[in-house]
Amino acid sequence: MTAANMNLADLIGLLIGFSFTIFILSYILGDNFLFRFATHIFIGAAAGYASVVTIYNVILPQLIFPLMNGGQGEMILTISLLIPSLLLLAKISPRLSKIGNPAMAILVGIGAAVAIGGGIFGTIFPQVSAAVNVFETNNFLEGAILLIGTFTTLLYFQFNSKQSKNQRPAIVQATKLIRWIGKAFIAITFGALFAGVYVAALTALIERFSFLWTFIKELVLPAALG
Amino acid sequence: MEEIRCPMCGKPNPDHLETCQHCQARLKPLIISSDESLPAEPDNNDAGLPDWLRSDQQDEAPSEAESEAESTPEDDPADDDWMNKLREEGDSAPIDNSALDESPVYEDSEEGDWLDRIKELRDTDEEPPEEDDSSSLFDGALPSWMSEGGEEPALEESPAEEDSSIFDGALPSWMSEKEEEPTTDEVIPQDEAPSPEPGASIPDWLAASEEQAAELDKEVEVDESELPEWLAGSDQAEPEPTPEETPILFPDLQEAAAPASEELASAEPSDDELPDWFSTKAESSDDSPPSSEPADDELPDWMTEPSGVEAEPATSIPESTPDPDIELPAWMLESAEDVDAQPAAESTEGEIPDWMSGEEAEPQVSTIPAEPDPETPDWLEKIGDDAIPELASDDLSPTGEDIFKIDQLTELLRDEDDLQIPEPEGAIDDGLAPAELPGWLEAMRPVESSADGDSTAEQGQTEQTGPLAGLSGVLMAEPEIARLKQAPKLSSRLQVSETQQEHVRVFRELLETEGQAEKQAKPIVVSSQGLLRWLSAFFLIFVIGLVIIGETQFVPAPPQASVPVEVLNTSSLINSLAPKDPVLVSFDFEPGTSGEMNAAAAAVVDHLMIRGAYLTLISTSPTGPALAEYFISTVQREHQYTSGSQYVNLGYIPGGASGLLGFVQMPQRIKPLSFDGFDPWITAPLDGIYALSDFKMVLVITDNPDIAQSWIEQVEPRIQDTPLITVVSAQVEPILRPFVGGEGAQVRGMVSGVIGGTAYEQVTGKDNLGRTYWDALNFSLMTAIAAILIGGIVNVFSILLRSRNRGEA
Amino acid sequence: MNLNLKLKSPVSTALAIGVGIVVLLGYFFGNDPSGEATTLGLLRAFLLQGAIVWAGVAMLVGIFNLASVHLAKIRANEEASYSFILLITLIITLGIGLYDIVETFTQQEINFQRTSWIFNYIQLPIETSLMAVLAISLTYAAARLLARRLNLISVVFVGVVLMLLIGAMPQVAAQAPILAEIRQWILRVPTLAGARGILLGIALGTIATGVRILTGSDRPYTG
Repeated sequence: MTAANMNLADLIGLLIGFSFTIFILSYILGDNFLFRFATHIFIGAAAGYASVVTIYNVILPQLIFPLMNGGQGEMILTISLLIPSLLLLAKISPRLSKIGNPAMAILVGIGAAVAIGGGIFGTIFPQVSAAVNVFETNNFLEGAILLIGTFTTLLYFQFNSKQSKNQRPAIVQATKLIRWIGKAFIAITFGALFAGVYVAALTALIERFSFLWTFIKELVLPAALG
Repeated sequence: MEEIRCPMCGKPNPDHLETCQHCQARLKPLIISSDESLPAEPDNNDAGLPDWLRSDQQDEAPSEAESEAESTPEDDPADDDWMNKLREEGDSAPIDNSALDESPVYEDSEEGDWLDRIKELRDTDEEPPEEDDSSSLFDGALPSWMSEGGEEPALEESPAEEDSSIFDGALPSWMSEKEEEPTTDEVIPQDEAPSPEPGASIPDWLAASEEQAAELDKEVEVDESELPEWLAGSDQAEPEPTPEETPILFPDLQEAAAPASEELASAEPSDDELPDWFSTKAESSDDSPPSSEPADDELPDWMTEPSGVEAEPATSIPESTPDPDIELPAWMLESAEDVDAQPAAESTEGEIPDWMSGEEAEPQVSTIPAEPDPETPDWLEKIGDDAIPELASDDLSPTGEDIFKIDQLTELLRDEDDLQIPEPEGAIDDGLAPAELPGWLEAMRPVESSADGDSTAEQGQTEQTGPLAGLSGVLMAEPEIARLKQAPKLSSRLQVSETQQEHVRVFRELLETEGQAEKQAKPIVVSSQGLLRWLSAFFLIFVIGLVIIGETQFVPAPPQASVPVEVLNTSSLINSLAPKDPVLVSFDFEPGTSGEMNAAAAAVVDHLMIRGAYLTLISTSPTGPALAEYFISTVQREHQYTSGSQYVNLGYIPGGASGLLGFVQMPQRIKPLSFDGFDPWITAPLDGIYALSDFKMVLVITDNPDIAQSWIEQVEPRIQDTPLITVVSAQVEPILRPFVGGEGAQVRGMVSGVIGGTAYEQVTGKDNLGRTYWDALNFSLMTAIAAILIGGIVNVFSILLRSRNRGEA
Repeated sequence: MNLNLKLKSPVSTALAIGVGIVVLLGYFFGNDPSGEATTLGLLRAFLLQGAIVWAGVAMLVGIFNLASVHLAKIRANEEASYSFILLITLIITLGIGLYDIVETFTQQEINFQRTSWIFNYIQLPIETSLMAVLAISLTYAAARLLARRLNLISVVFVGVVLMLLIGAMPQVAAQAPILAEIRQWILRVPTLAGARGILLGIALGTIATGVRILTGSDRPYTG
């Protein structure tokens, strides 16, 4: 990246990108106008870009082009897709919002069914199987930890949401122990997640400083030094 | 239905009437309405009160405000001349409203503050601060201030001790000062002595007293023979208070003593059927310390010392003590004689009358010092030492706050001595139905010669109408009630000494802080937190900037031995690909993590390109297609991959898991066109692709665990033998681990974050973007670890320090 | 199962239940033994294709709603300047994108340079910078973690974070290999156990929610 092999649009773009990076990083000093300005610019640009991509990559190929170029069967299929789409567009207007409910219901129903199927076949069966067979792929100690950790974590949610008042003291104590063990495993998992998020954020910070330094080194310093 | 006699015409009226149906006079006092104005009506009747009384009034202001009706003079038919005098003074004396905004108590001086105090002491539950304070005073060694005189009443704790001191007959000087009131000429004449009417039940205050005495289970030594006639007879003579009458006066007391009062009210005790509270106290007196038994001839100081002070209101009588034989009012003398006829327990004639002793049980003052003091009053010296352990053994150890305020309270409570004042007629008055006159009194009216003939200069105006016509210094009937209702203008300046002001301030602060949650000590780390934030940011930026500017690469890459197995599996799977094998690559990350994802995926995609795979790019995020194009054209620009020949960008699939499921089953139908606008399914190698299982490999590059899970749940079960590998952000790795494994696992290979990407570069032997960030990442990690450690240590120490400071406080 | 018979939106509820059952049954009966799609499978495929299209339309509706909200803010003079900036940016981006689309189809040549310019030089730097700022905040949060709540679970959490970060550094791994091994063990055993439990819990919760929708107990589409 040098100024020589860049067109004006890219140069301006790099300058804008550099500026927006500084604006956002200024949040380290505290919330300020530049930060808010940049974030609102970002939201507007992201929404606009998503709209463009959706129109170009979904709506036109699925709803418009088949009506223009497709055969009869394809047109019928497209019309059957178009009607719920138009109903959904009624959601734009608060007065006509209820018209879009059936289309939204179809969407929700499909999503619920897909989630159920995916959860059963993609997570529960394989993971239960893996949990049961931990001793095949691990030594006894690790297998025991894996098994205990999995079930105490799972039971933690159950016991957390449902506590009977008439439980016997022994059961209550056992429940408390299970909850505590489950909580400890969840803390370990969340600690690992936090470490991952932190590394990801650090990498983003490194990437941004790398971008800033590249911009300065390639564009600003040559211009300043003549 | 109960009847109420009209105070004006004396005719009976139904009790629900507000005004007399015969003469239209008001039947029920306007008390409740006047209570509302109490807080705004500081009375100046205390203008002439002694310091100790005024400070006492101020301290009691809140509690008295709670007991609304206690401050109404209408309920005191025996209000005597000194009350009128007070009222007169109140009208003329200045008072400072600002100083007494919260002190409605001064209006009560019309019926005697000592009476209010005693009443309030029955409601000990309402005064926890005082209770705490008093309790703290009895912790072991009694302070010296206790030996100097009276103390704050111990409320529930020490009725026995109080009685003991009384029956010793050696009353302290402060007590004798307050007993001066009977000596004055304005003392209620015997004719006006309350409750002479037959058939009356025990007034509420008596019932409350009994209740309290019973509850407290304290030993009170009472000689019934000491009961004055008016008191002994009051049980019979007083009209049974109706529910409408008593609650106004003692709403709180009635609640506290409801069972007893009801019981007593229903019964009409005769002379030999003494009320329970009498018997209780008499019985309990048997257990009182021997030293507390009074001698017959041990008259209290206040009875032996002559008074040289002009009569003051009962609550404000300060200094001189009267000669009981001479100056005691007739009613008192008579009562002293009458008590002989009553069953005597231990006390005898010449002692404090029972009305006093009976009420003395209520103040419950414990004034027993641990050791005799030269300044200890006689009554205190006579208390047996055996009473002290009783006090000391009480579970009354002071709290930390009590100790904290003990010095201030010592001064403060010294002025509370008046709480020990025995309560004479005023208390009984409260139980009387207003303006119900006995026949003998009615026969006396109008009498020109009032009892206040030669009393103090300030006398009430003479009653012109009604049953009390001709009497001066009595409560006005209708006009008086109406006047009180209209919030008497009592504003003027209160003469308060600096000491009293200080007492008020301290006590008010004490009361205010009682109801407030203890403010947590301001974290001493507030400034250090800001410093910590700035320092961590500065060092992090400084280190990263330094490494990037220096473009260092001296930090060693992960050694081959430490490369995770899932990274090795990924490499192996890619190595198994043949050139032009179609590989589906999902760019499912957001621009925010593009830095990390590009670094993590660079080596993997580079490996794919080296292997000559045909890349089919797809995304479930709208920004995915652009990120994919950016990645191919920028990060992997060395490969000069061109769209259509070496890769195809199918673009964006909405719908999340539903879209993925549809794409798995019918990719050509869901994505008929590429992002470039051409049909990719008609050219090789995608012309043979009808389902995702036809791809040779599926690579998911994502920073979102949900998206990764959707791919695993919806796609992996339907791609059969096609391996699914992932390049994920470090934040996804932990949650994706259960899916990752070797042969047969749902995810066959995984590269996680920059660390995984750099490890993969070690496997392929080709540095890439991961290595570029490696040094900066390691140094920033070191800085971050140091910041977390230092910050954590600082914060933990600050917590410990705070908790220690709190414990000390 | 508690079915509410007084349905407020009977048509919508019936549609949701019907299409849900079709899609769910398609997992089992979508294909015949020979692999060919059954009628149920075809219907399911149509619904899945429709889901993609309708999800795209729903996204557009959402973006329009975002614009209308900020338009209302401008009218109410409620942080109007920022809303105005957002709206202007949205309109400009959308306008440029639509222009690119039209030009692409009119000239029969892909041309999204202008839209890509907006993405590469505005959206990408800003969003990446937002993530970068997160690093500073997380550093401070991690340092403050024990100050907020000091108990055994918090200590475990911070300890795991530190161990994973320390073990990730190759210098440390070279000097003290045990730390790298501990890191790997943490990720491989306890983290995996906890994550598996969490995944199962989430899956069970998702299934329960889906069942409630398919039985009409939950009707999030009404309103």
